[in-house]
Amino acid sequence: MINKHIGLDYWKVNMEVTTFLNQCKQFEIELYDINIKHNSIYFYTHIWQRKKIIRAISNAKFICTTGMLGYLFKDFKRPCRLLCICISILIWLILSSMVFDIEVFGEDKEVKKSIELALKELGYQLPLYKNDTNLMKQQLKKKLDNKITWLEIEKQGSKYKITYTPKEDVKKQSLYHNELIAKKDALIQRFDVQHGNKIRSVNEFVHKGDVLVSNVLEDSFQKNHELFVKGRVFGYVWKDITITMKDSKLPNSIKFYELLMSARNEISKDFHKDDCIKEENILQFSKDMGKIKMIVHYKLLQDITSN
Amino acid sequence: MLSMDKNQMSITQYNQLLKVENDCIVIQMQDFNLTINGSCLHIDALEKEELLLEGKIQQITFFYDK
Repeated sequence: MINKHIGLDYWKVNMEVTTFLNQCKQFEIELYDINIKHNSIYFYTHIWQRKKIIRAISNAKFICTTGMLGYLFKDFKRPCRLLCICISILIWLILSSMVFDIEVFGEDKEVKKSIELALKELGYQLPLYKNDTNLMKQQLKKKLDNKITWLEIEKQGSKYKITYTPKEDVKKQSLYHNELIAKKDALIQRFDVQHGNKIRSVNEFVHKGDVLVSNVLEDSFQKNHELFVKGRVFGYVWKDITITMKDSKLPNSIKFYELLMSARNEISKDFHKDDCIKEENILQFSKDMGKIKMIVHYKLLQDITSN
Repeated sequence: MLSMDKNQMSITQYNQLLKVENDCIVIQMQDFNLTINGSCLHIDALEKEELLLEGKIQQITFFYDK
């Protein structure tokens, strides 16, 4: 049985039943759900049989179309609804071919800014109509050839995703003639020197201001030659740190660790690369006048030639 | 061909309908006339080669032409 919810035409005819049915058979008209009410025959047919019915049964009266098809036909008859459908299709078509956002992904923030500026200069201002991404890619690569190694543009809905890899230049090594001077009192642990003349030795105690690596080298003819100096000198440094805090209701162990962490934080504030704490000794942990005090003695291994 | 199921009867390969009433339907088949007697009889669907009738079927008679 055909589903009325999809759509069937509903008709009415005033005729003798037998004559009507035979006429339908003759014209190959398919009828469904035939009902006889008050000497009228009511029936359902497919919508594509309308012309056949009009030709075959002249006094047949069309009542309505049922189901989804009926609803669609009613809509097409109303100009306002038709206009609304057309406008919505148009809006959808226009908006779906627009780009509302461009996202740039990459390592170097400066290169990212350059890409954003280049897009503005090339006329790619938001919102923009969807362009050929290959052309956009070529233009950007040409403009930022000295900053980008690789660039890719991907369409994601109404968004362009630009991914890039910045160009990495080989860093030029710069050498200077400046001597390496101790910035603090220390016991030299090791030299990490590529260029220069070492004038101190390991396990020697040096004071602040002492020259550790010189830029002058005397040859066998007692003639001085100027050298480049590059490197670091590591030495043991001793320091005491005093940390205080207000007394609280927390357990002693927590207060202790809190102070210890603060002390470590304090001592490592001026650390350079490869600096470390070698030894840590708590000299004092006391309470006085509502305050807790901790004194810690540190043995540090630090670069004593850098600021 | 005839097929029956509860209060429905399907008839295929028929020529024409001779009589359609509430208590009697007469159908002309190729070699015989088929008379169906009952109550509340009506044609439910009519297609090119098939007919579906519904109602309380009490008697089916086959009339062959001599």
